[in-house]
Amino acid sequence: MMRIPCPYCGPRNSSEFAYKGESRPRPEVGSVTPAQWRAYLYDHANPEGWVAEGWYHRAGCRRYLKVERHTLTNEVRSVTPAARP
Amino acid sequence: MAESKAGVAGPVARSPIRPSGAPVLVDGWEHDITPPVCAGLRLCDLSWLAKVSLRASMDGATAAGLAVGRGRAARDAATRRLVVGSGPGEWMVIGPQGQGPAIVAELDERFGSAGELVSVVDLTHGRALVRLSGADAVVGVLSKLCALDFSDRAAPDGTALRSSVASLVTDIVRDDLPATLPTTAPAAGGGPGAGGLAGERSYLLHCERSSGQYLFDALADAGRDHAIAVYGATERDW
Repeated sequence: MMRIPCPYCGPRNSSEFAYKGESRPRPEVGSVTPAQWRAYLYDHANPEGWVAEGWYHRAGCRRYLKVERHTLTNEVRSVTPAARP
Repeated sequence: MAESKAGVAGPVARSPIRPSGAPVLVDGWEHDITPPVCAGLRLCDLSWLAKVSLRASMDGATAAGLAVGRGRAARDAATRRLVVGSGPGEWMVIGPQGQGPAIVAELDERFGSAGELVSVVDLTHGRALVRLSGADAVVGVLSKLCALDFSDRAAPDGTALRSSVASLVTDIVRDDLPATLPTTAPAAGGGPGAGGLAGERSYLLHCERSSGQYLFDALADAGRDHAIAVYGATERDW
């Protein structure tokens, strides 16, 4: 089990969240090439170590969160509300 | 399926939760009239209460005007309405039956001109609402279905939470029943039951209408060890 300390709801089981994948910059839609868009959608760095990810608190505050998680230990070192678009 | 009464004009509103006996029509809503139970672990359907959702910025004028923080619930003594801070920038006003349109109009008037984007929606017919009461057994039942800490220290009276209950996204509001005179009815679960000076531990749980029966059945099933009683809501439950 992994717990995520939600900044709004407190520590909650990760089963309450939906995983949204690694955070990375979205390519400019107007000028992106199909190859770049494909890489954005499907290629992941998948590092061994700290990674910044997006999580959605589906069964809680219904907010998108930016979570820094260690992929080996599942330790979470920071959770912040995702920037509003 | 319940038979509608002869001579009834207008639509009949039904709770998503099946009544345990023949329902009675009260101001357009079918009510369960199973005799009330006053002590021990018990569960009743309150879906006919007015439920109005209000969404606004989490730190704007509306939030300041409502004066109910996230994760808290406060009852207005005069109107008997319960204002629940159910999430960041999200409130739910629960009021007596039939007050939905009046609450919407009032909130619109109060906050519609505040200059920020406010959305007020009457969700009375879109949500199921139940009340689970009883002494300490309630915590045992909820703990079977939800991972949160329901102790007095972590979740005192007036706490509002949203979490997963029986894998269903459910809003949980601790809304203790007012203290009453000691009752003569025996406590069904062997617990201390109602009465005494402090209010009795009680929770309002609400979820999407389509999942209402599932939530009700899950709570009734989890409470079977404690001899849970299902009854028709009374004035005291609201």
